[in-house]
Amino acid sequence: MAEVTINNLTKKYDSYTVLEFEEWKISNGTIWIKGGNGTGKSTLFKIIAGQIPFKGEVMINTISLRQKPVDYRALISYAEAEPQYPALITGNELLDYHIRVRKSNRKTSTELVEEFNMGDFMDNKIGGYSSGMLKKLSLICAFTGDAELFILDEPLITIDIEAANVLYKIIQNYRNQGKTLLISSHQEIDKNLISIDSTFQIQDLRLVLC
Amino acid sequence: MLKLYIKTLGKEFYLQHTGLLLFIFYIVFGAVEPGQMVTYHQTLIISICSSPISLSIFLLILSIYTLKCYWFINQKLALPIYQFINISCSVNKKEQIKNWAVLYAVIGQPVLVYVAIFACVGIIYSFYWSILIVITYYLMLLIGAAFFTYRSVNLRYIYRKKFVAIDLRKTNKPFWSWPLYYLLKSQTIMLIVCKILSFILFKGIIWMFADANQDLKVGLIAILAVIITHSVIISTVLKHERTQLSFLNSLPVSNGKRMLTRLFFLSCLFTPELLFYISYSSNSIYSILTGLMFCISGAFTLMMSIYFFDNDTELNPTFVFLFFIVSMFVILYQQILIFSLLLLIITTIYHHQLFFKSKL
Repeated sequence: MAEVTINNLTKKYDSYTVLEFEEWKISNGTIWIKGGNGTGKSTLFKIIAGQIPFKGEVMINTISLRQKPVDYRALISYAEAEPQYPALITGNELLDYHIRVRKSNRKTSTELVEEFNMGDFMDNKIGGYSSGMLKKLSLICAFTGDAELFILDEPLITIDIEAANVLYKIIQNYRNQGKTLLISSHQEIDKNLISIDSTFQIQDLRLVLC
Repeated sequence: MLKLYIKTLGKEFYLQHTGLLLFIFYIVFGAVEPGQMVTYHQTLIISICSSPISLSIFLLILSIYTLKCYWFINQKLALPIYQFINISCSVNKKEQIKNWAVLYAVIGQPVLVYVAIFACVGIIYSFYWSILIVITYYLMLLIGAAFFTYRSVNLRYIYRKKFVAIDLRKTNKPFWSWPLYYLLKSQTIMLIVCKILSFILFKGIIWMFADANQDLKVGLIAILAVIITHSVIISTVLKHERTQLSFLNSLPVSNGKRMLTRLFFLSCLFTPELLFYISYSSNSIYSILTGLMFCISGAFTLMMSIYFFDNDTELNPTFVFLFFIVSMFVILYQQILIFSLLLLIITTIYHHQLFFKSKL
């Protein structure tokens, strides 16, 4: 279980403030952050994923990103909206690196590869992947290892219906295991396939419960 | 359209190569006493005009510079931010080639100025054939570069068969080697040109001060030239790392591991030059250690400066220039080991800060 706490957050791009609030707390379950383009969903996710600098404090179960970045990052897994990877390496090389860093086993990842129908492409260079394949690879990497918090930024864009159904199933499984899943999407999520525990949207620079 | 080319591609070329151009300017004009400058260049040009071998070397230098410009423009044109250039395809062929040729002449100004001086001296001493050869050759280089750029912009749909296709898919590439593969496979021409330039400068400095009899200062100036020559490569690799390897920021990889990977990459990148330096140092442990320290810490400082100035296209080249000036003084005052250690300590602290602020 991951309890995510954000305190006194301010995020600006030059003089433009994107996010500013005193406190936001979430615990286990599937949390959907909805909203249109430019509302700050991806920025929020990048902050929690330790991708970009910000003012404030982000913690998971009292482990602070600022004070213990490696321990913090061991608890999270992040799949960005538009993943970018080195074009010259193969899908397997990227996956092997994730397995090694996350001290995970190959078997779980192989199952994920098969579920997402990526088996035939994993030995190909990433540069030759379509945007959908790139997205699937980022999801496979994100679900590699034993993280407590899964941050999935727009996981449904560019993937086909079959892959979306696989993703719904995985999300539901992880939720049932007591993990926390943060999902952003401007598309409606099929609530018959996954249980959404809470929904937020960003209004006036802060997160508001819907 | 031409104005736009000059304002974007032309400006970016000069901003990225300020350090290198200033270094070459120093080597060509600053290494001679001011009172002997005119006589020195007069003699140099006369010797180029009168010897076919010297003339060939001069033409080779012109070719390398033009190749570097061509590579730079083509590399930029492949970036999404330069996709607007594709609109030039609607203009007729002659106009397009003319625009590209003028752009190459603009970014080739440092060479063009020397060709002009060459022509003046050549006329005074009646070396008409040499002048004709140099001017014709340089014009051909400009038009050639313009023509090939025109082709790459207009004929992108043509499938180009690779002459050398090495399939590396089955070779397991460990993480530390990814930036090296990126350079070898995606930035091949840039790497080759950089290495040629680096070798010429290294050997040139050693030959220029051959009478100094393996003085440590000479070797360190050569290493400084090597670092400055690689500034564009370092910036390119870092840009690649910040976009394509940004996923690292969400993985439990420690600051020490990330920094060591970078230092290891720089050590691999500079291996050929460091081997030259070691052979020059003739087994003096102190000289070898000083050179290695200066090379790695200097290159790492340039890498960290890109973070510090947030990849600012004006401040970054200024820093490269300042680094060159300061390093030169430190070398002359024989304090390079302390300077290198200081650079390494400062950059290590800065890297640590960047890591903890999620800025890597």
